[in-house]
Amino acid sequence: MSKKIAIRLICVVGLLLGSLASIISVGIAGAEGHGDVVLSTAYPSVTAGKGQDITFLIEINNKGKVDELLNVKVLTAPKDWEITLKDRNFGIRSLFLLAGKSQSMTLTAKPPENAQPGDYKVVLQATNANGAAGTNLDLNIGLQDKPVGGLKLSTQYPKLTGQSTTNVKFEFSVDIKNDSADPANVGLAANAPKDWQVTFSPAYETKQISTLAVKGNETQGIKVTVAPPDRAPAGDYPIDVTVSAGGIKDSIQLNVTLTGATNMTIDTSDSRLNTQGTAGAATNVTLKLTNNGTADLRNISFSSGKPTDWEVTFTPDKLDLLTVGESYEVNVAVKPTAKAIAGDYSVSVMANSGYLSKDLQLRMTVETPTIWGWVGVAIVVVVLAGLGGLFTRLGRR
Amino acid sequence: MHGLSAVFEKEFRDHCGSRRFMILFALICLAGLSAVYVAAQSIRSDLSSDSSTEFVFLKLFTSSSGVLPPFLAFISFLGPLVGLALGFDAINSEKNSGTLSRLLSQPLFRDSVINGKFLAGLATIALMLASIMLVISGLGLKLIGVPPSLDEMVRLIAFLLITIVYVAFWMAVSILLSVLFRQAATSALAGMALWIFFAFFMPMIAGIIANVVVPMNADPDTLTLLRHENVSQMASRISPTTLFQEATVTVLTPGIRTLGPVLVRDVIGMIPSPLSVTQSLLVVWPHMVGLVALTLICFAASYTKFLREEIRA
Repeated sequence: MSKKIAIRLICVVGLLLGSLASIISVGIAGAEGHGDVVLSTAYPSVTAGKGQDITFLIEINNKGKVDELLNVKVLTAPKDWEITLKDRNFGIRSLFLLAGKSQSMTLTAKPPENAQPGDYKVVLQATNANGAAGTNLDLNIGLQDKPVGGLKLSTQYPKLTGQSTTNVKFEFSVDIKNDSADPANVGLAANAPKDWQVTFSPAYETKQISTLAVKGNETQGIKVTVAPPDRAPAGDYPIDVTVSAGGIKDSIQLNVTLTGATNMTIDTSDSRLNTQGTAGAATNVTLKLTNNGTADLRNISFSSGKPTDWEVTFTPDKLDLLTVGESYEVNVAVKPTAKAIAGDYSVSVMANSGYLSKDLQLRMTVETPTIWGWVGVAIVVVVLAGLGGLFTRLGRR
Repeated sequence: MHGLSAVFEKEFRDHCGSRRFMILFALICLAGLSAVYVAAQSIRSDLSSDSSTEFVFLKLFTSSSGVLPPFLAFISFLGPLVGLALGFDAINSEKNSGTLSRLLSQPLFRDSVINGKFLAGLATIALMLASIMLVISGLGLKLIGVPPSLDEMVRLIAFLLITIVYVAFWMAVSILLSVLFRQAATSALAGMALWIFFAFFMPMIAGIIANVVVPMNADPDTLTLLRHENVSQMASRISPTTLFQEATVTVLTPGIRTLGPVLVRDVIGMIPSPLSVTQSLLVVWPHMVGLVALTLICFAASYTKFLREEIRA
């Protein structure tokens, strides 16, 4: 500070952005006739969100006539902040600058997790080899509560409704918008009720993903598939989807409303689907109805598909209520017509409740009654008796 | 009883040694073997392509390749001939040659003669058909290599019994004719005439009877058609040949569920599947009863006639 420091303000027209930008140039007035070294950056004062890394592009320019070997270091920095000065992949401590040339490097400031919002200052210093002369660059960082730029989640349909049946799936279309200019590698996470499965996939693909790259200032759609567990009870279920990239994150709440699904199975009590009976006589089959849906079944009625003139009777003939998970046994009397031809027949029984209908195919082997067989035997016996009568009357002559 | 067994033994020996029997036996054997051989050839090619291997053994007796009729057809054609050949001269040739009065002078009852002759004929028929069936089954087993199931065996035994009864019926008819007619040639011709009538003319006559009972106009309705068909069928069942054919086809083809016309309403809900043996037998039970009863009635008639006859020495 004992040296004579000249500060010049130069206003230039910002070519790239088409707007005015001010460049603060800090020059080193060489005491021994060295040329001026200038540290500069396009945006010396920036604002940033919490958890966001701040990057400055630093330009160092040798405007003098003499080549310079310069040391660069961070003079002051806020407590616990991590400041790195880099060119490509390595950190920089000193650089050699030919007369009239310039060099650029990157300064990255990473605030600690618990950094409070407020104004912070980083001072970068360049000194020439003998350490006599120095030039400083002040970088001002306004730290804000919410991130500047970053990620935005949006969806057109945040609430989906469906029946709670097996294998039901809900698909949400969620758009991820990257507000910053830099591409972001976005991690995807979800917080769902227990046993619910949430998977992410690209909008029109089936592969499951956990991160995706979103280019700067672009929007990318993803598909969030939510699968409730089997027979989940009816109700509203919130699912929180969170995206994060670096320290930036955003979340959105998706909602699934499950309504009760009616479903039932119909089977015979011993799972045997064939039965045997005699023409003209009733054969009993026990049916087992099970409510394996997620809603109660009401007013269950029965009907049957049967060959002509057959009788199929259900006992009881209707059922008022079958609660979730319950089973009920119904007796079915199948009576083939007396004139039925022997052999196998197909009889279907149906249970209906509202628009829900379940049927079961039974195979019935019909046998003709053996009564006529005995009549035949009787005829033969009568004929044989007649023959025996003849023998006794006419024989032994 | 002693007399009965003596007559039975003598008649049985005569039958087995006679030229007549030898020729018929050779004829049926040859026809049966060739029919089964041809059937087995076609079954073998069917088996390699068709997946259905149900009741293959029965197909030996019922299927044909078109070159030769199936065994079943041969039996229903030649069976009556055997029956007629065994009985047409049972009584009248003995009467004519004078051996009957000599026989009756022996210490035996008169009914033993006719009983013995009938039983000897029955035994001959049973022996002949059983041996032919066994030979054919053996050949079939060798050719197709599929052994018969229990179900099939029961069906084959039922088929054998029905055939024995059927041939015995024709023998009973020919014995009756030999009692009725004095000349052996007459009774033989009468027997042939009856056979031809029942085998060939009865189906036509059944049609005529049906036309008379249920007249058919140009466009008959379903009910008329059904009645016509029923009457025609019942009329043709007067013929024992029809009874035999329906019974054997049903017993040997498990897929046949009923005989006669079937309405569409009866078919609703029906699953095409084979019947069990007992059900198949129940379907043709009336046929079997009819055949047995006819045989017994024919025998009873000849018995009565023979026993009431005057036999002069």
